[in-house]
Amino acid sequence: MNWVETLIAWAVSLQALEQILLQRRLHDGDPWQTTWMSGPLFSATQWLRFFVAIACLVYSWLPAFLILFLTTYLVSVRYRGTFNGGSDTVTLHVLGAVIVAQAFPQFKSEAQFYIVLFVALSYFVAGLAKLLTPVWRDGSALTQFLLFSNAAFPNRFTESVRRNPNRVRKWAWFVTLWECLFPIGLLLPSTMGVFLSVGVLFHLLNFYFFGLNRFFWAWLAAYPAFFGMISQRF
Amino acid sequence: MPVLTPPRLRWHSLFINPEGNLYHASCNALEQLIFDPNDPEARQIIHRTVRHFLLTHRRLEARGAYQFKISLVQLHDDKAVEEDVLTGEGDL
Repeated sequence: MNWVETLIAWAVSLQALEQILLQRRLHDGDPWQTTWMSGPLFSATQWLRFFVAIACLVYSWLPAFLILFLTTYLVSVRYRGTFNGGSDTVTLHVLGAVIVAQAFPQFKSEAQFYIVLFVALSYFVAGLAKLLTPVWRDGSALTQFLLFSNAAFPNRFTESVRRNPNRVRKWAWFVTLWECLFPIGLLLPSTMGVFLSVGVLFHLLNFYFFGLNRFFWAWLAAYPAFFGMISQRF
Repeated sequence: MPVLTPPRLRWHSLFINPEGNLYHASCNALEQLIFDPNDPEARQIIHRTVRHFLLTHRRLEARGAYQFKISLVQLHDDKAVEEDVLTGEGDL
């Protein structure tokens, strides 16, 4: 769990830094300033979140992770939902498991398995949803996502992919099958290295095509739990 | 009329991408508007977010009055069905 703690603290420090920089760039007032947490109070919580996360990189301390969990949750409350979708959800779940492992060391393995199960199910459910959706099976959903990308659009790779629907369809099927088959890594630990390697590439590409930087660090923080589980079984 | 796109990704965007993620956050207010077009707080959030993007976009140099429209485009059998969600105006 030590690597999980370090990487999730790193992910949270980046998230806090993003919020701090965003507050400084909102020239004409914060769009969310009408909600109950705004302005100086929100900035103060993010500075606290940032420094506590940095401290957690070198020293693991239960109260610090409790602060990270609370300040991360408060961000979602302020923005009336997750600031960045699934990455915020993964962050909270990993922090929760870290807190349980720290507060109750006798349940460290269970907390680690919770992270493993959560990640595996998140991939499987996403893959199953794609498998059951016609627009994902024929590749048109991925084409549309690329068309309305939140990243630098258009770029030459995006244009190349969109002009080749067969390639897009293969990519869509590859992602769908990888997600659906991911839980197999829990039954065959020798294959988990391959699944996780594809996962790293998957999240990197999500960043490149869609600008989803937070997903990369949040899921990466959960991956060491798989190696911990594998080492315990062998 | 210039096409406003999200901020260009740089290598450091992998670590921090505040403006890009602001787009994601604004979806919370957009979702609320789809369910309740008269939600005053959600409308105000979108108005302010649009204004922020117009003020900070690198291609947009002009200042003055502006109008905007946010539409929900749904695809049905390869046909796009557009429904206006919010219209607004302001002054930069």
